[in-house]
Amino acid sequence: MVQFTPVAGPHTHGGTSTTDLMYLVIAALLPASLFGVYLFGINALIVLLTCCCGAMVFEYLGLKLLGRSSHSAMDGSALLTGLLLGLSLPPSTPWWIALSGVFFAIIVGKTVFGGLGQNPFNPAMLGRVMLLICFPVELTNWQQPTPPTMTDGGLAMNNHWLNINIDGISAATPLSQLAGDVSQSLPSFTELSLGQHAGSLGETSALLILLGGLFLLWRGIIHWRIPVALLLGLAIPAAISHLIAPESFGSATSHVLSGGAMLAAFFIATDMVTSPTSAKGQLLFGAGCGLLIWLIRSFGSYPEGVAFAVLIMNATTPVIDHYLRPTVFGQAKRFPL
Amino acid sequence: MMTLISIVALAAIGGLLGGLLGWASKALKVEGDPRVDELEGMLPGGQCGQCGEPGCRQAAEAMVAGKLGPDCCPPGGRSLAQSISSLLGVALTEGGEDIPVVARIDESLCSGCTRCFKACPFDAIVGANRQMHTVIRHVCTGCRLCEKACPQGCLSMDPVAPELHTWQWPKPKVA
Amino acid sequence: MLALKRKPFHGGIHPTGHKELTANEATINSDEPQRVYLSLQQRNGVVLRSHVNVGDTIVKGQLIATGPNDMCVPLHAPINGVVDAIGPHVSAHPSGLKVNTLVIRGNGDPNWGIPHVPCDTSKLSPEEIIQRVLDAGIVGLGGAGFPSGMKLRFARQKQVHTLLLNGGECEPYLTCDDRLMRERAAEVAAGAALMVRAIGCSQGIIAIEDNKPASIDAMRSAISDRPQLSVQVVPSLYPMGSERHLIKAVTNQTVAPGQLSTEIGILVHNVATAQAVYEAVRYQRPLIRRIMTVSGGALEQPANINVAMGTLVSDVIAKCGGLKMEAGRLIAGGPMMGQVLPSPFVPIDKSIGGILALSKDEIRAEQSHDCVRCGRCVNACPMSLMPFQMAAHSRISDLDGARHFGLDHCLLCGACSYVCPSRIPLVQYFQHARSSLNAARTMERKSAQARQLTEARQARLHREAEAKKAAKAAKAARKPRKRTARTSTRTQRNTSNNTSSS
Repeated sequence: MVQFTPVAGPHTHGGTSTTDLMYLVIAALLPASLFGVYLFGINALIVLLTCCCGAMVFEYLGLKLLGRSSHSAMDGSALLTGLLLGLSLPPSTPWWIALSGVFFAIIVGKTVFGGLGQNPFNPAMLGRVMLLICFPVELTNWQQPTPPTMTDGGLAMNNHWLNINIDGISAATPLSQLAGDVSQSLPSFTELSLGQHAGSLGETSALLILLGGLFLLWRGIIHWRIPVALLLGLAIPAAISHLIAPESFGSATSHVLSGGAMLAAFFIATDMVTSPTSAKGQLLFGAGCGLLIWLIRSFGSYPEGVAFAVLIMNATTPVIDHYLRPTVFGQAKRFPL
Repeated sequence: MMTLISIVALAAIGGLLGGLLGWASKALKVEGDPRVDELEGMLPGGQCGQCGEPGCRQAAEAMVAGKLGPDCCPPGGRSLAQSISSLLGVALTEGGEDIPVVARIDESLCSGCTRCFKACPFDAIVGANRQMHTVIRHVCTGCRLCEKACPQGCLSMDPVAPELHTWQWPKPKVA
Repeated sequence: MLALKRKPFHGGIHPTGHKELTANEATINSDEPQRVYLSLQQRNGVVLRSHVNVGDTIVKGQLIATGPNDMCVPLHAPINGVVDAIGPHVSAHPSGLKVNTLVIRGNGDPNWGIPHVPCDTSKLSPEEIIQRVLDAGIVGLGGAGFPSGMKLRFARQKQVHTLLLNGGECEPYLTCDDRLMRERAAEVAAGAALMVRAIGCSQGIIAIEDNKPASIDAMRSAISDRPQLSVQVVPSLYPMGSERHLIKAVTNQTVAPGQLSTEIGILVHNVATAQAVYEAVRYQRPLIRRIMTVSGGALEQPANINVAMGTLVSDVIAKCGGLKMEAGRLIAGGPMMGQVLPSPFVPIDKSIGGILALSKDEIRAEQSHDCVRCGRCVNACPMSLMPFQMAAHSRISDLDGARHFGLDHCLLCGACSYVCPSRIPLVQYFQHARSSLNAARTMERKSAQARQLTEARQARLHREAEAKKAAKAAKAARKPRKRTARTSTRTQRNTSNNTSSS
């Protein structure tokens, strides 16, 4: 049937859909997620699965509540929120805490604002912060990684990995070391990049997250502006302060490679819904996130500031988008730079 | 002692602010609502009475008082309703919109009584005694006053047909 | 990462070209059609006056209708034949509205009815060249449809220094300008030289996208003996064919929003227009045929075809072997900015550069979803606007909000819709908002006029009443004293009438 009713162009399309975008981001997160499970064992897997499945179920319920088509629960956006929340939790988190976090993230963080595209705050970070405030003990109980080792008798999995002994070996994260006494021996550069240290599930291996981020950049899913600005916004003040007072401030590398900085740079701050859209706005947003992360880590009472920093900058997004609009082609630049 | 001071202080502040407000309401009083004049200037001024008020001034007063909706004026159409709603800060309901019309004279029935062009507040009808009358279509606002005046019943209201340069793109259907 | 590559302007997209369907086939010359349908109303609403009546025999090239001023071009008969009818017929406008159309039944004779002998163009003055362009009824063949002669005259007054010929052809599928430059490079060059003389400018630059190497070679050799002309290669990037963006790519100058390119001394014309100018000036031939691309996945034999104006789209498609599968949409123009045709029985006009029969797989129409603010439209917008904001404001009929985010500067190029992952029909929102704004402006003008008329009427009634009163008073003064009382009451009633009506 030829369509003769008036419909405006273009009469063709590039072919990318929102669902494609979401699943590509999830694919880019998979290596880091699997590595997290390898490091921390069965309970890590339980946390991730709880978050992902819970997110889908709550999204489905939320869409029913809004009276929308429930097909959208499969568009990957809820799954991504769940995965990001799971990756930002400690591997020893009990499943019911993870589930309440994902409930908060999806229903309060997203559905109440009207669903996909309407939420002002990153839902995963909202859930993370809620959990941190409600369950401070469970959320700061970090474990030493206990990956299976190759022995002569095959793959040896220890009890911690298999989740037999719930009370894992608690250990300090590099960030809590940074916040405390910097003179203590920090994990080496290689350990930080490979993730051989205590920390959140998916925040440990900076290298795998960087690879996932580069994949997204290559596929054009995210733009370089927010990650680069965020990492620079974090690294520059860290480097300067480290130069001035090395005994009380961590180095730029330790800041960039530890905690959730990499995850935030490539996957959390780049969340499409809650970040600005203009080039100048994205640079400002990224730099603001980076600076806030450094400030909270260095001067705040929490060792990690990614979630707070991202939420604070999310709140500024409408203002940034309003004032840092791109200059119309041909118009004189408003801010000659 | 402390209680007494608090009571006295609060009473003093209350009295002071009350006095200030009372003074302000007198000193800064605005005679009538200035929006009425502004609204009246925006209305077509045909005194056609389609809104149910006797004239445009009264309609403006009723709109400011909230008794009439911003879309009460058919000759003004959608654009007038929109500017009124933004001036008064009243929400405009979608869909309660009249199709724009213009008057048409069935020339075989017209007796040339001149009543319609006397009734037209916009001088949109031309003609003379015992001569056939006709409507200047681009001037006519579709206020329907002439329709009531015509004893022959030869006046009808036609919907304005879209032309190439006035045709409007439909709004996309929301998913 | 690709965004790091140097681009001549911000934004823009690289849509799939599909040019291979037609780019390597020679242009077909279509036969004289049996009937042509010539619209007597222009897109801007101006009505042309027909000089012929039903039953008149007319010859090819004969002047058959003119407009009220120079802003609408005269209409010439594209074929020999008889005027069959003058009446409403559906036009190529997406609305599908019927406009007054002149129908000519052809007799199949391909010869010109009026001899067109070549003249020595070097003896013509610039004003004579412009007049010939106007008389030939040439409009911009790139799609805008503005009278070319008026553009030349205006540019001459503004003392433009550079003529830019647009051989960008950035729309997918379309290859008619490419073929024209390959097959008639000499005529394009000659037309360009004539236009340079008509404007009185110093140079003419022919800008061609780098995906058309054959055209670049052909034009380079055609202009080798014309020092005032040059060829410049521009990167292929949609929308390179937009006037402002071409100027930026070629000269690195920008035209401020709301300004015309003549303000910075540059005039842009299409290459096909240059060829038509050559024919018009050298042979005094009116514009009655044009080369257009007939393509699309649903078409049997995609081709470039030289057709007479007023030929029905159905005839053009039949000439190209008809459809091999059901088409999703018929498009006049390219797939990005082209307009959907309301019927296959609409005639082609001067500004249609292509007919596309697109299959459903090519259109990829899908249900739209909520905006996720991904910002891809902002990155793609060649005008550096925020399309998603404009659409959001248009959706709730907040036209001022949409204008605040740049509705007035929008080219309607469709780059934003092309990249939108949520398939939001952004361009249709903008079209809707634009036409609503237009309607609102018309309404405002009308109500201002209405107000003026009522005021004038009241003043007139008042004057008449005053005159009547004065006349009565004068009459009463002459009459005996006993009737004074009655007259005065009448005057009083008159006055009270006046106050109630004002």
